[in-house]
Amino acid sequence: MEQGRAYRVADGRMVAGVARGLALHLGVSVLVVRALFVAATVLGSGAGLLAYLAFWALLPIDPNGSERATPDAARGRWIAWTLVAGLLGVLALSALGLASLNEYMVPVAVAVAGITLVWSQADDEQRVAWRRDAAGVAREAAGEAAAHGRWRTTVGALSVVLAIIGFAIARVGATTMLQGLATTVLLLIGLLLVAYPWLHGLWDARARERAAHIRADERAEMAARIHDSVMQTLTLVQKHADDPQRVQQLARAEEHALRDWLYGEAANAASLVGAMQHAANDVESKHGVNIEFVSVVDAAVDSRIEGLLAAAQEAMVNAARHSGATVVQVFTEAGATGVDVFVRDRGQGFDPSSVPLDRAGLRESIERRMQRCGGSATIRTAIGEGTEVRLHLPQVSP
Amino acid sequence: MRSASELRVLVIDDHAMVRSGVRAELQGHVREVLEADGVTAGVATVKEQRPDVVLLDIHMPDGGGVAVLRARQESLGGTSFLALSVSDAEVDVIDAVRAGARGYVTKHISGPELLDAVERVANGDAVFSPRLAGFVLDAFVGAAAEEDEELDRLSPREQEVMRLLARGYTYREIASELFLSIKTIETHASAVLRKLQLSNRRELSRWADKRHLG
Repeated sequence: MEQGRAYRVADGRMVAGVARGLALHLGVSVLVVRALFVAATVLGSGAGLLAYLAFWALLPIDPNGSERATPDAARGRWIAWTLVAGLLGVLALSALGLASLNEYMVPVAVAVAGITLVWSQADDEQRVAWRRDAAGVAREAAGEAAAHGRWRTTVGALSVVLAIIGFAIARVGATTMLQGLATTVLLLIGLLLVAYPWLHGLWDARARERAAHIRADERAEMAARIHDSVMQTLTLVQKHADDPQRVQQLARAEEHALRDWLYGEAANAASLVGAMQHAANDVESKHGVNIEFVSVVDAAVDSRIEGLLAAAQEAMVNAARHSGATVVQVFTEAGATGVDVFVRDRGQGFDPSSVPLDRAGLRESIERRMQRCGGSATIRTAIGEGTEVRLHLPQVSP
Repeated sequence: MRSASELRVLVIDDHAMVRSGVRAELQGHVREVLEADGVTAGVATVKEQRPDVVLLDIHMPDGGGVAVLRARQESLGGTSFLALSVSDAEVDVIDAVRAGARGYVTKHISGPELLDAVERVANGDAVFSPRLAGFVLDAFVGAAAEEDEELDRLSPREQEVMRLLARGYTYREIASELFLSIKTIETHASAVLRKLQLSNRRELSRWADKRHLG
């Protein structure tokens, strides 16, 4: 907080944060300030209250204040009880003949209560607006708060109006008051009619401004995204222009990232489809092949499916490294009879009866893995015909 | 049976780079390649030029490929539409197919495969990418709902064909796998496409709903 400027503080306040703000500013205890206000109110026939309201209106809220403001509901209750207690106290004092209750006191008290409600609401809205600017709080939550706020503002405004009417009745009598009220209403209607185009324009402009603000936010997010990721990738692509493999890898990784961001396809590792997609992306970027992944019906990952996933990844790597094909097709289906995974390439294939040594290991690792988790692996291949690996995990009866 | 060299193909895409890419793939193999750069120009060109096949980008301003399909008149029976998209988002694909496209291919498709797809569509057959076949299985078979309508079910044979398509098999490979003629496989595929277009299955409208919510 800068020196020499007094603020109201939302943190730890009881009503509007005036006392706490002044205490901080003056370097004295908040209790002292509060006691002074109360004393000035009681002894100075309401001067303390007026001073408090004046400070409330004049002092801005500390914009750097923490967000640990006293919760609105608790504070609202506190204000309401204080006002009720104050009213009852005044009534009791006058009933006991200790203070003279004149006809103006009740309307003034009600008006003060109404103003307190409306102003405290305005404070909260300002605070919420700051917070939203700072942290981008969800707009729905803000909308909910606004609905609640309208309710508070309406009640506050109504009590102020009632207080004024009460005051007028006490002062000039009901008949004159009614005439005056009618004149005022007519005047207000006239003013509204005259000012309507201007008010409407103001409202419109505000709505437009808000929409423009939201658009600008979205554009900024998009720009940040493009800058962080796409530009970076483009720079790398230029740098590696002579290395087609690397360029392809970069482009593919960027494509995955953009797709995740645009369509929210972020792989959920806890599901069969999510985990398979993840594995496919991994093999794509490590081995420079395109994997066309298609899935039908998802399933939750359990320990058996983990074995299947490992075998499927092995099969994909195998196809990527040895088949010579640029596209590998992967199909997953979780059906009534169990889970099936097909990994297929249109590459060179091999002769199953004379398996080259380097492929035998991989083949065994796939088959053994499947056996260990209670499934089976079938490999269909012939020289020049490509290879298709089928992994099957039968449904276990529960 | 019309071969590719007799066909006039219109490419509707708002990206000049994509149009020239497709042109490069098809030029010399088809009779003529036409181009249009958007929905309005596309609809006008379809009406004036009556191409045999339209390659239609799904994502364009002013409503995208679906808008073109909706604007197309019944009288343009001679033109077949094939959706072309970089997006694999199922909803987009389904919308295009349900609006009348004869199939869907991604922009990653190789030249010969694209040519094959164009020829197939021109002859009234359906083109299923593995992903589209996967979607069909998901929508028609995956959810165990008892539907009475013939349109809402796939026959066991149709399911078999879709499963092989989803695994990446070509029509020819499926034919030899199932010991059937290619013509029979094409008939099954067309029947599935028709069901996809006409069925009221809940899963299909669910996909559409998702799109409008999102």
